[in-house]
Amino acid sequence: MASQALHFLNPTYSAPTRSLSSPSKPLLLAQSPRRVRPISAISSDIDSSSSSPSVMISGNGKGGIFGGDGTAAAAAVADVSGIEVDAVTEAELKENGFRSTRRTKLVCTIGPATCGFEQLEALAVGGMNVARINMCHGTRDWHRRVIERVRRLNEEKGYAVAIMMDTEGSEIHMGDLGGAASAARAEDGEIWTFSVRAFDSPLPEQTINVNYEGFAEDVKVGDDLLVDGGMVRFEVIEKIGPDVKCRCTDPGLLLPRANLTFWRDGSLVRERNAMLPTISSKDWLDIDFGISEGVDFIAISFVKSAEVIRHLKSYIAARSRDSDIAVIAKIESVDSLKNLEEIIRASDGAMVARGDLGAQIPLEQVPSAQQKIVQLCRQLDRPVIVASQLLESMIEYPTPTRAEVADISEAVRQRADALMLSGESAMGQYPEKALTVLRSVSLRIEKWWREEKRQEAMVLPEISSSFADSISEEICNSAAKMVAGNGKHSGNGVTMGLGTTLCGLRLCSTHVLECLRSSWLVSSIVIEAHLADNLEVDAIFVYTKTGQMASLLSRCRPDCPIFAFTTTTSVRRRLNLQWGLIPFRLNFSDDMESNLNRTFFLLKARGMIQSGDLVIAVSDMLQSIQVMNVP
Amino acid sequence: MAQVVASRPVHGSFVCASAGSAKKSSIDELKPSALPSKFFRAKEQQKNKRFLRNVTVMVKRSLRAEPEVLPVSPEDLPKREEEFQHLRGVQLGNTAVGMWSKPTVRRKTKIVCTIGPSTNTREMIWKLAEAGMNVARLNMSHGDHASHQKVIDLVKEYNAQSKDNVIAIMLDTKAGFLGPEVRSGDLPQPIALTNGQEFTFTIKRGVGTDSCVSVNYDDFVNDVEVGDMLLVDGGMMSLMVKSKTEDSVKCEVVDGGELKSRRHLNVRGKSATLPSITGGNLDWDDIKFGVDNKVDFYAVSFVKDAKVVHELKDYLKSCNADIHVIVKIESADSVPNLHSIITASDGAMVARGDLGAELPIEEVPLLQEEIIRMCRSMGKAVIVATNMLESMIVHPTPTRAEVSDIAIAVREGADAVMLSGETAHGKFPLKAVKVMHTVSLRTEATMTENDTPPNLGQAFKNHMSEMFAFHATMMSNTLGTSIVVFTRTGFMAILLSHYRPSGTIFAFTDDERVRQRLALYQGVCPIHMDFSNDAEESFNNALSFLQKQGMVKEGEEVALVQSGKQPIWRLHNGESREGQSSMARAARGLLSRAAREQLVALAPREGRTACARAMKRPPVRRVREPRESSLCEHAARVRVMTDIAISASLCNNDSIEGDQTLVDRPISD
Repeated sequence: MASQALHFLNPTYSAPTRSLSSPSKPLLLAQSPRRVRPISAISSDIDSSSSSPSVMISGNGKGGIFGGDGTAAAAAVADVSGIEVDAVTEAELKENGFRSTRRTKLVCTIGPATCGFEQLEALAVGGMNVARINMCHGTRDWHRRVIERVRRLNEEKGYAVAIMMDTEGSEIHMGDLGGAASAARAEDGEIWTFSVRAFDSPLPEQTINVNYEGFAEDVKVGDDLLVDGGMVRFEVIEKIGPDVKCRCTDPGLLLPRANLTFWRDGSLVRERNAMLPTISSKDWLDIDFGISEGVDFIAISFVKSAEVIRHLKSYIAARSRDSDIAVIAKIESVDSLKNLEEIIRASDGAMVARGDLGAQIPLEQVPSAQQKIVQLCRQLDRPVIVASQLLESMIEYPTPTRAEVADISEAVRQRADALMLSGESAMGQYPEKALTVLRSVSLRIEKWWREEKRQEAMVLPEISSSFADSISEEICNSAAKMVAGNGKHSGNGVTMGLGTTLCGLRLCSTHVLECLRSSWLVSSIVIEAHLADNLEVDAIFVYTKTGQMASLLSRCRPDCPIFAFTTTTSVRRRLNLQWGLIPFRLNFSDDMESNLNRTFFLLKARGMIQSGDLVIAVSDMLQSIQVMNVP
Repeated sequence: MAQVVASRPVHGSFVCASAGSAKKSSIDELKPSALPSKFFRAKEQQKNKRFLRNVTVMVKRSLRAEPEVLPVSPEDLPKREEEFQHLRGVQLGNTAVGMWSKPTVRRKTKIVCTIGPSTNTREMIWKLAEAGMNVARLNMSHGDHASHQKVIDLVKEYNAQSKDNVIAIMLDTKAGFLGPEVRSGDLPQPIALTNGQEFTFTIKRGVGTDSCVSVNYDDFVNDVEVGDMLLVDGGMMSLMVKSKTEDSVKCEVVDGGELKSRRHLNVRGKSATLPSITGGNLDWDDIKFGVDNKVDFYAVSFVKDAKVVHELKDYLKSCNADIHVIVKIESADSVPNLHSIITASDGAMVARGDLGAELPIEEVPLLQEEIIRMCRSMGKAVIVATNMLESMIVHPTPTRAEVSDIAIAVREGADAVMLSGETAHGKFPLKAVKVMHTVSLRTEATMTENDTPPNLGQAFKNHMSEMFAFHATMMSNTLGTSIVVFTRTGFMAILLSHYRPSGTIFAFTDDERVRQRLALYQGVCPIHMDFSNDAEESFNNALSFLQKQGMVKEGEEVALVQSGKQPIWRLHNGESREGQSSMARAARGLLSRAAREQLVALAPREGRTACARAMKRPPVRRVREPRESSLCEHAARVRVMTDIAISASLCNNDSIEGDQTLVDRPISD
């Protein structure tokens, strides 16, 4: 096997903190296949049991054999099934090869239109990576059934659809509309009553319940009341005790639980409702539900500060020791924009919830806010989702407006990790079509990006705090640069990559650096020579237990797809949200040589790679970079 | 300053400059303001009484124009929102720092509004104009000549009474211009089509049953093939062609919906203007109507090649009509001929509706970018149209996607964005215009400014004017000033617009038609003024007009640009150097001094050689601080290139101090 390897030997190295097992000391070019207890799926996810450990004979016979707990019973079965990847990605890889796989991930909100098993499967086939359930609507039982169906889909069909639970948040919103009406229409000039009284009987005509008790005290006559960021607008004309009488100035549809904001003298009034807790009592119940169901992501609405996120994370850690639920901060208020960096650092990802954001800041600032959030998330290595009103018109019509297509193309160009459908998939008439539009636009723009060889000038600051982490980071940056620097400019690209790596490491203790540098320099020449001869790197392989290294690679947004091999299904699902990652579940060891052999064998058997493909392999157990051709 | 200028070899000043300024920029990063001030001090000691005060003021201020936005909408955030404070600019206090106040920021991207039933009254047109409409578009496929006539008269009436705002008129000859669109026939009532159902289109006339409807195009059967996807109204419904007979096409419904009378039909991947329809049937009625009414623009539908454009232009020339032709890029066929079509025309419109129906929809954003890029590189106007605020036809608020779409068009550098149904028959026409206005303004303010205007390349044969506009833009960008241009034909204003200077271009013209036409171009604020014979007097008139209208403030600097190759004031005032040729009247006395110093050295010896060299050198070069020196260089370059003859005469006269041509003119009364 023609391969150049570059390994780090780091005396102070310890496995990244999130790692589940005690670190095994890696050796420089550890060749002897040592038997290492693989990290079997410890997570509480129910489908982890389906990943039956299997014994593999690797292609050239010299690779190691790793069976979980030595149970070789199931071994005979699973030659080819020892690696888990979803069918759609597999088909895509077989058909179009590496380069054309979609990098931007897609999130679909599951609602009445899409909650059936067949519908969910159709979405998964259409490219859904994450299913989002919105706790604003529906009962917990209903949500539990959806979660079960998604689980079943993953188990039976081999998908890795992650589940994101979205909490309701506690901004001021309207209650349910009286009776069975799903929506009411406010006409110009009509007088509506907003009340904080609890009505036990059905609501009187043209009356709306408001969930915030201080509502009647806080509003003043003359204030503007905006429903859903301006879809309907009222003017406050009179206050009678708990009732507030308003005249409709912009007619439109009132939807149950629509967000309410009030504006005074052209500015948003928001001091008072800042007193509301970010996570309401209902939200805590929902979070408990999410933890017990083992969802992969919890999205928190109307985050105001990083404190809330930290609070929630400690709660999750206390409640479930062995699951790692990622917390996504929804950026949808002025406060969250103010504390943006702090919030993103504290959370595991962010969502640009443009619907509510547009109600809180002037609408025309939303595009620039989106741009800023996406950029910051990437710099801080957090996945970012662009959400709300991406394909609003497709709730009713089978084609998107041109504006919507342009909007998606812009989000893809900004290289957001994921795009999200809300109403389009939850209650729209054409959920699959909407998903198809997202998919085809993303694919097209990504292809164009690669063809045009657009290089974005984004500075990725160093984010690691510990030495071990910064090595990982530099490895990832270098690997990505090798990809970028291939082709005509191969020599330059690689040298630059290594150059900056050295700079990055210089911060670390000097004697470690000395030994590192010698190995780097030797290897850099090798790699450079190698890459100079070759044209394109076809894929990056990353072996990661915690997913951190895969995330760091994804952050660099390299030109080629990243195959992320991980041992647990929960990490695999979590990685499914991130840009350009194709997550596989695979039991692997500390011995890279045998890991690679085994991976190549398995992938080749499934027709997903071919001999001669050039790959870069990195690993977080043995911090190393290798460049090699698939044998 | 003296060092910078002097240390540079005279012949090589264009070549070596980059090295010099690169070094400077690295120093500047460390100490942004101290360095220039040193230069200035040295300068002050040397001599000069006249511009002393200006110089010190200038040093104190950062020259990079901070993006500044006026509070544009009541929704603007309260002041305590620091997060967005920087966007609002620091208004208070800063203007008082010196006599050099910042230009008022105006929206640059223009807004085209389609006038229809919702907006064809006098009141609405006035209101639209106040809200920000720059071009009124009349869609000839709806309404009759009488109603259009009424709108045109109203717009003209508005223009006549408005001093600082002008509305251009665009005639869009949609259907029936280059041949009708393919449409389905009349139906007694809408038919509900369900998925999987069979449905037939026939070329027989007057058929309208539940399962069959006629099509207005006779070659329909020949042009579609089995397996084609038929789209109704750009994709609202779609049908797959299953089989065809001599006079009918059997289809299966793929996406159902309600089929109403006279719906627009497309075939995916094929052009809607089917081959037998050619430029032969231009709708001369509509064209004559436009000529009679002296409209400013024709928008031509479904242009497939440049031939049609030439034909129309020849006709217009024969009637002596000064009407510009905007081609609508809306069919798959026009894409391969994009270059020749745009070359033949005066501008293009990205009509995304039909493009998205005929091409895969994901190609549209890429194509839009490509068309904008192409138009800009050729110096043509470009309009982004269709579906921009579609949801505002019925709702008072746009979706976030639509806001983002406007921002994209503005960032890509379109001259104008267009509203169709939103203003023609929408419920909230004024709100839609307001949204476009605020979003464009905000986006323009948050765009990162280029120090160097993008180079247009070989857009114009008139290379001199091009270089001229380039450097004028450069100077105004670096100084953060607006540009005042005097033009008879509009050419120079359009040229300047295509370099997208960061300040507004105030275009003074003595031709009412030109003024109206310039309303379409990005960043141009057209103003009518009768030119007097004396250049100085005209300049003064212009400046006092601007001041009176509140378009510039006292103490603000402006860059004066005379018209392009043909100067307006040729030898009128007897002073040969005044009338020699086009000339940027760059701001700052300092600048002119330094420029003169260079010229003194340069002109007599180098003469035309320097000129030639300067023109060969690639004009794109990042010029960084110290801006003063770079400006000197630019001023010098402009002068060298354009005014070789006069500079020689300047030196001979030894009348440098009295030279008015490059002296700045702070506005004052």
